[in-house]
Amino acid sequence: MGTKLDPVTKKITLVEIDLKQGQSQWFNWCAGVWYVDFDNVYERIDAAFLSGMAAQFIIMVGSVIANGVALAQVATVALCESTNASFFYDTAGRRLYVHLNNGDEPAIEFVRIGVTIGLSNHAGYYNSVYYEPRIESPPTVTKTKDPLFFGRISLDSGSLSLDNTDGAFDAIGENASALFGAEARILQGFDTDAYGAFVRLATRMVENVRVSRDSAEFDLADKRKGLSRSVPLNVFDSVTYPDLDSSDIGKPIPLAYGLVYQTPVVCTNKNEGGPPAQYHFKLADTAGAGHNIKSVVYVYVNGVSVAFTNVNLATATLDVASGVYAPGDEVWVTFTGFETGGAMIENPADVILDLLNTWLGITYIAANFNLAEWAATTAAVTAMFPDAIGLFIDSPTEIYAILQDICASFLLNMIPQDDGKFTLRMYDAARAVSQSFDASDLLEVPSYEYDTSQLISYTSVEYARTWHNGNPRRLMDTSQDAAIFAIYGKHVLGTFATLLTTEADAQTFSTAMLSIQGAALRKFSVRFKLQPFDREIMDFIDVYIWRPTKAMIGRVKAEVLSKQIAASSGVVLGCRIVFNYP
Amino acid sequence: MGVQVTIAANQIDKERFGYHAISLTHFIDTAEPSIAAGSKVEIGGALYEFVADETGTGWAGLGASSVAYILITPAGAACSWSYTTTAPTWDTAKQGWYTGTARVVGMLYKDAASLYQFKKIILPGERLLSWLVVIGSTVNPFVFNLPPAIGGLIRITIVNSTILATGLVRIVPSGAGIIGPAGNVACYLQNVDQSGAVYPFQFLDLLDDRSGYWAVVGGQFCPDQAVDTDGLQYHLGKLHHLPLGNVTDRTLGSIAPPAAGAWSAARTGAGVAGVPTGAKAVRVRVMTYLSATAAGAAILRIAFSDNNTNVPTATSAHAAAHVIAKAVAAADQWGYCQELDIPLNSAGQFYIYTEVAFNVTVASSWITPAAVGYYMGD
Repeated sequence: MGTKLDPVTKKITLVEIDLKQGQSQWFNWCAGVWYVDFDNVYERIDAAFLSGMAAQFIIMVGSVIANGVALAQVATVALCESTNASFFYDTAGRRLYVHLNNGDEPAIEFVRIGVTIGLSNHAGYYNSVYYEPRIESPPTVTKTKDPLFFGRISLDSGSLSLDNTDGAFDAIGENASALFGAEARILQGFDTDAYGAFVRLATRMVENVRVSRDSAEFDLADKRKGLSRSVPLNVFDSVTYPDLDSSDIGKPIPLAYGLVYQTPVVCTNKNEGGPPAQYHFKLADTAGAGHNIKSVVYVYVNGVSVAFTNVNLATATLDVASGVYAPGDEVWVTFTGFETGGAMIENPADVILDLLNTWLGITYIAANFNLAEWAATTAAVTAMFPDAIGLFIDSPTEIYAILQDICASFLLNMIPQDDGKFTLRMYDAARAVSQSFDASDLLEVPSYEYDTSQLISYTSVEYARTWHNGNPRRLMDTSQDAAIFAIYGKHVLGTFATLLTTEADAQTFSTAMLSIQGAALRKFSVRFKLQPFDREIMDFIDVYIWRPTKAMIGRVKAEVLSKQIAASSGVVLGCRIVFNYP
Repeated sequence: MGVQVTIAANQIDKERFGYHAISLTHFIDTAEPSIAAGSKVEIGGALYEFVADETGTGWAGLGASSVAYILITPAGAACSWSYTTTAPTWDTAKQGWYTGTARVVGMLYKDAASLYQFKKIILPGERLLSWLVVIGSTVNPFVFNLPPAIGGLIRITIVNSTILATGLVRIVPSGAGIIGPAGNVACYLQNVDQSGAVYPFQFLDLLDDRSGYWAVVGGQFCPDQAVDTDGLQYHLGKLHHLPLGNVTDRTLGSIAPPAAGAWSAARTGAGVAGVPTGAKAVRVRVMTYLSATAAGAAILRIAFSDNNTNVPTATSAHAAAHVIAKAVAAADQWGYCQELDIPLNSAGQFYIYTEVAFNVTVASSWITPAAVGYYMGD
């Protein structure tokens, strides 16, 4: 009688959720770095000075948030010392080191540490943490990109179902400050793996929780939802500007990047008696942004270009003489926005970084960004769109939405990697293939479709917006219309609102869009085991599309548009065919 | 609401915020300084000690004639120091002057010869820096380039103690910076004026009032101008008035005016009548009487100077007294009284010059200057 052979290894799914809690006791480690030892062991401090201190039952800290900004996790205390806004958790020593922004003392910031609870499909100790066997069904996470390829962000999602038959999660949502927004990480490996060998499949944040008698379901949201702060934050007020007109009180002080045409501006002494010899105008929030503006080009009063004086680039202010301007007139200014070190911040990749750093405290360091790819994309976007961005923000807008508009204008996608870092990619038809798959790697024969619903045959590209009324200039590109009509039998206009500033860049944009959308969209989805778990959106892969007896369309190069990871059933990639190999 | 800190170890951590005990070697000369062994400084909450004398880096990279700050940069368990021209900002969280996470504990000046001048240690908690710059250079002029005014950083008192008789200190604003009401122009400190009277330790007190603007809050403010060579104008200082509570005779001698176009002998203006020796100028009440030679118009115009070589004119800067009269008959007398400030030479003397004596018998006329006050150049 034969013996049934079972697999000798088990697939292990780990889920880590960092429940946030305060931490009041910190001691100085070195300049700008503070630490707490959860065993209450401080070899540098005499015990007599620790009266009142006690050990804390904290095994693992997976994240730290200070004043609402997540610190970057680094691998050593030395890196923590040298990296602004970072933390290091010494698992063996149960010691947490933090380097807050600017090296500030934790007592003067609102610091929340993310105490990790470990969950798994099979109980076990990993990295000193006990992972309770509560995962009912392996979590599913998805990442997607809008198939139109012009940068619109599609928020990624995930869910997690946990065993709650003992009521362990009954009240977990009652401590809202601990749970919601907490970082959640999903890792995959085998029972023979050490913790370090586990692969991180996704980094999310807890958004919704549903609790029932037997289970607790967590919705895991895209980290980019954390970029929801609206800017501008600073507003005009009558204390700073005592002669401000009441209708302007509370108006946001604008932000501006690149060359911006005919922006509306606020007169800060409209109510000054006299009248004053000069009326003062404020163009942008240099104090909030931490940058001067670069230059002032034209000032218009009621649509007519006028003389102006006393330009102060540090405060983004200028004067127009009384008589040239009178209260009630409309004033617009064409100027170039924020600069640093004398160079305008106008590359869209740089603008994104500046917004993230200035308003969300997300610094451009390796712990937060894929630096190499970001730098490469920065260079690529300059090469493709040399005239750069024109962006003016004068009403509260979520940073997330601003980033979306920037990406849409420059063929970019800002992607949260599975390791939690942000990266920026520009569509590149010549991108190198990241992974090749044989037919035997596929768990099923792919099905594919030809979609002409998103076909365009000519374009209208809006650029160089006049910001006081939102009217853009337009480039109409019909160069491909006849050829595309000959194939697909229809004329379809694609209209694109962009932040481009010149006709030349608009033409570049149109050409790129027609090359992408000027043909039927060839899409397919394909399921694997875990081989492509680390593929990212916009990666290129080679895949054989064939049935067991013969090739269907053969080997293709395809761009990854979506990734769904279900730890139990493998990885499903949604792809667009870029190229058929002969 | 403040919260009591109860854990002793926390108390020690927090008490050292802002602390330092830094000494520089060569503090009062112009040689390269070291942070002296035994110096201690808190940076970002951590306490560091210099266990041996340590020199700074970066001096060679600084431009000549510029302000340098002493910057201590921590790196884990160690720190090192360097020179920078970047002005620090006050960090309320750290209770000190910082550039990023590095602490600024002092400042000095790199002069044209790359000497280490005017060293200063910033005191713990010194929110508005107070910097005394005593310039005793023999370089003429010694150029002191101000750092950019950024608002609320520093108050600089510049003292000219040069031993060079004609030594000037030229104070130059940074870029488009402004000094006082004179605008974007340099100014100077002089220790000797055209009279040859030396008055060392003249000073200028400047306050970094706001971005790009140095307010003059005291001292000798002599902006550049296009007419006179720097250092030739008189800085008289404050007026000291002689007492009104007695009837002491204050006359500086009553004389007949010199003949037209002639100088008087030197007249003593200091060390007499209550005017101290060393006075830069004397304020006099001049009583002038003319005696007409004949009926008709008569004019007597006399001038005062600290020298008898440069001839006064009606439009020059000399102190002058005029009497214009119409005589009915010969020997008619007319008089006038006025107060004038007369610069004195290094011997405390002045001269009287008769510029015009028309229809005037000078031998029968007279001038009586009486001191009412004086100036010491302070």
